[in-house]
Amino acid sequence: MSWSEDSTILENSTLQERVVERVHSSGARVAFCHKPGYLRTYACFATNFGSVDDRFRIGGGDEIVLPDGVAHFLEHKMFEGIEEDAFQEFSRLGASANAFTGFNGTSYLFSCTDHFYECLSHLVRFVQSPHFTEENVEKEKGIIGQEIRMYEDMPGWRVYFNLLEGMYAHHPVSKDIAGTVETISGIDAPLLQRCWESFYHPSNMILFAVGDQSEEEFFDHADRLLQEKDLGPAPALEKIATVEEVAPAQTQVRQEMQVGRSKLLFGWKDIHPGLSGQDMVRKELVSDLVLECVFGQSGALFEKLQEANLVDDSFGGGYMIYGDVGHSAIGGDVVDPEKVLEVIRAELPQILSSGISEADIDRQRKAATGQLLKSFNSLENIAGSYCSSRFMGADPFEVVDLLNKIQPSEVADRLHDHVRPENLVSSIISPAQG
Amino acid sequence: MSPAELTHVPGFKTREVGSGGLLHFRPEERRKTSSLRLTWVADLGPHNARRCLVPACLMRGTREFPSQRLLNLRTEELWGLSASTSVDRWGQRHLITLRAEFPDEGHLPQGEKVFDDAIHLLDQLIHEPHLVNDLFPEEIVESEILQQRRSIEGRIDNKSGWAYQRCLEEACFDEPWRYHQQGSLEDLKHVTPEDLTALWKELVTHQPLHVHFSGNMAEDRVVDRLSTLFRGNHSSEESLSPRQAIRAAKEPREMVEHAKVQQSNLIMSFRTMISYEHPLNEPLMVANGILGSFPHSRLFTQVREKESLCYSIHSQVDSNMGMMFISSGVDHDTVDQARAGIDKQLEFVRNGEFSEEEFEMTLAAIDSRLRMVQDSPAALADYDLRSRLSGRKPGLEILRKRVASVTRDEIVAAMELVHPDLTYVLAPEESS
Repeated sequence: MSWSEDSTILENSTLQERVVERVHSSGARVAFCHKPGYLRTYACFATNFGSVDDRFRIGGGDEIVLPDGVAHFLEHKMFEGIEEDAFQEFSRLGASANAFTGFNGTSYLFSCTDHFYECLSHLVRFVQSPHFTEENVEKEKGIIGQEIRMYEDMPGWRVYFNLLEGMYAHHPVSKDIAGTVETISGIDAPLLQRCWESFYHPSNMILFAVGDQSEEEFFDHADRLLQEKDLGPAPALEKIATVEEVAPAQTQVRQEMQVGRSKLLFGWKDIHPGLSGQDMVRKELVSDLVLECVFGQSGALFEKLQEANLVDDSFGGGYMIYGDVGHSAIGGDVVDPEKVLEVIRAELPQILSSGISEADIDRQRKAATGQLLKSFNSLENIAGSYCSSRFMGADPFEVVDLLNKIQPSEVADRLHDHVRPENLVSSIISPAQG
Repeated sequence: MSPAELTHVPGFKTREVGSGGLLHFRPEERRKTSSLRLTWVADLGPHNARRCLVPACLMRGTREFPSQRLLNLRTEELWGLSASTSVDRWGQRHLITLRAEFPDEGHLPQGEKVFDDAIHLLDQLIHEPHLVNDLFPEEIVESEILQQRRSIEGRIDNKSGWAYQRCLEEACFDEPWRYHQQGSLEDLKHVTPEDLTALWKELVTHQPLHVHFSGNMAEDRVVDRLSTLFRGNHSSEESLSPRQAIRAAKEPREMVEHAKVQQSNLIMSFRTMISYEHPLNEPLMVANGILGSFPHSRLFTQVREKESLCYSIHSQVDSNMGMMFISSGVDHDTVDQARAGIDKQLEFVRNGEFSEEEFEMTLAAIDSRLRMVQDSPAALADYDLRSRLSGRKPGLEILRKRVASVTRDEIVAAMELVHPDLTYVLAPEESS
C-alpha cells in the first residue's frame, strides 16, 4: 500500500453523499464517491492547470510566460499516442471519453457501463504518457484553428469573453481558453513537454471516480496504477499571479455579428488575492444569492424589464470565482441593450438603498437547496464540483451547511461591496449592419 | 453475462387515464429529486409558431398566482421546483412539453413536504392559467408574440443549426418534417387572445397527452395525484394525421447560401428508405456509428484527425424521415476537399471495408450509450415517448438485442440504400 495519509471522509446528511479521499505516495489526491444502483461509472483525472496559468517558474528559476491557449492545446495533444489516439482504446472498451479545459483546470474523463478498471488504467496511462512530435503538433493547429473559428461564430461565447475583456486589463481570465490562431502558431513540442512536466505531476492532480463500484477495489487499483510510472519528485512549481487593477479596463465592449437578436451581458469584477477554501465558497454563495435577489426572475427589476418587453426568459446571471479574481455576468437576449442598461442604472440606487429582505434571503436559501439536490443527481456534476472545490482548497459538500449560515448582514455587505453602479461593465453583440 | 447486465433498472409502467391519456410511472430510488414530464402531441404544420405561444402564456401565471413574478416566488418557495416548457419535433409530430423537477421529501428537513403542492401547481399551470374575462390577457399575448418573433429571428445565431434547418427545408420541401418547431414569422401575424385561448383549450382537451413520472414515491399515491393532470383530455388516435410515407432520393442537388460567418457549415443529406420498423433500421444505426457518431468513427479519425480539415464533424440518422445527415464546420477553401474526404468514408463503409475492430467498437459503444440512458429519468422518458410515436416497442432491452445481432452483411445492405439528396453549404459572404 502506498497511501501517505489516512483516509479523509467528506460527507453531508442533507445531500446524503459521502466521498472517501486519500493522498497517494506519488502525490496524487485520489477520491471515490459510491452511487448505488447507477449503471454508469464516471471517472476523471484532472490537473490544476487551466487557461489562467500563463506564468510560472520551477525551483526559483526564470519566469516562463506561456502563449494563450497552451493548456487547451496540451489537452488536445494528450490524446495522441504512438500507435493510435487514446479514444480508440476507450471505444474498444465501450466507454465514452472526453476532456475539457477550463480557466483553472484540465480534466480527462470517461464514463462506462462495463470494463471500468480497464478504462481507469487506460485513463491514467495515457495522461501520463505524452507523445508530442513536431509533425503532430503542427497538424493539430489546423483542427484547433477550426475550433477557434467555430467559437468566433458563437455570439453567446463572444459576448461573455468581450465582457471579461472589458473587466480585466491584465488578468489572463479574459483570454479565450483556446487562444487565437496567432497565439497558438508559436506552440511547439518542447513547450508542450515542458508544461506537461510542470503541471501534470501527480502532486498537481486528482483522480476521482463516482459510481456503483467497490471502494476498496478502486483504491487498490488506483494504487497499483499510480505506482506504474515513477515521475520523480514533485517539481517546485510556483504559479505567478498577474496583478489586476480594481477599476475596469473598459466600461463597454461592442461587437457586430450576424445575429437575429442582440445579446447583452453586464457585471462587476472583484480582486481578492489570497482568498481560498471556505471563504471562497462562501463568497461565491453569497454573491449568487445577492444576484438572484436583485436580478432574478422573481425580482421586481426583472418584472419591470419584462413588462416593458425589454427582456425574456433568457435573462439571468451568476457569479464565478477563478482564484484571485471573480466576477458576475448577468444578461441574455435583448432587443435594445442600451435601454435595458438605462433601466438598470436608474433602478440600482433604489435597490441599493432598500436592500434585500430576510424573506427574500430565506426563499432563495430554499430554492438553492433544491437546486443543489438536483445537481448532485449528476455524476458529472459531482466530479466537477469535487475537483474544482479541492483545487481551491474547499470541501464540496460544505456549501449546504454554509447556505444555512448566511446572515442578512453579510448579504447586505456583499450587495454594496459588489454592485457598484460606477464600475459596471457591459458587453453587447448587435446585428451586423448591411 | 457481465455483472452490469444483471442490474435491473425498472422501466415505465403504463396505464390509460381518462380517455386516451397515458400515464407512465417508474420508481426511482437512486436520485434526490422526482421528475415529471407532460407532453402533448400534435402535427407539425404551418401553425407551429402560434402553438408555441400556448406553453409560453401558461408560464405567465395561474389564477392563484396571476403573474410570472408571483409564480416564480412560489416555485422558489417549493424548494426551487423547476418548471419549464419546451417545444420540439419528432418526425412529423410537434411536441409541447412541460417539465418539472422537485426534491424528494426524504432529503428535506424533518416534516417538510413538497409533492402535493408541486402537483397542485402544475395542475393549475395547465388547467387554471391567469385569464382576464376568460381570455389570456392581451398584454401577455402581445409580449409572447414579440418574444416568439425574436426567438425565430434569433435562430440564425446558431449557424450549424440554421444550416441544418435550411438543408431540411430544401430537401424535404413538401414533407411535414420540414417545418421548424418554432414555426414562421408569417404565422404570428394577426394572432388574438381569442385564438390563443381556443388553442390552449384544444391542446389540453384534444391532443394526445403523455405524462412520465420517475421518483421515490408510492405508485398509488402518484397515480391518484397525477390523474388530475388529465382532466378534460378526450384525445384519440384521430387527433393526429396518418404517418407520412418516406421517400426515395431523386437527382442529387447542391445549394450554397451566404452569411457573415468565419467558417462554412456543410450539411450533406441522404435518403435511406429505412424507417424505424424496417429490418435494416438497426444495421443502419450501426453503419452510422462506424461512419460518424463516435470519436472512433471514420469521419472523426480520417477527415478530422488525419486530414485536419475540421473540428466538428458527425453523421446522424433519422428514420422518421428516412434520412441521414453529415454535418461539418470547415474552412471555406477546403469545402471540396472535405466533401471528397466524406464521400471516401461513405464508400468505405458501403464496401464493407471497415475492420472487425471498428465493427465491434461500434456495437459496444451503441450498447453502452443505450445502457447509460437508464441512469437518466429524463432520457428514459424521452426514449419511451419517441419510441411510441415512431411505432416501435419502447423497451430498451429489445433494441439492445437487435443491435447486438447486426451483421456486417446487413450493414452493407443498409448502406446500399443510402443515396445522396441535397448538399447544402452556408458559406462566408466574402466567398460569394
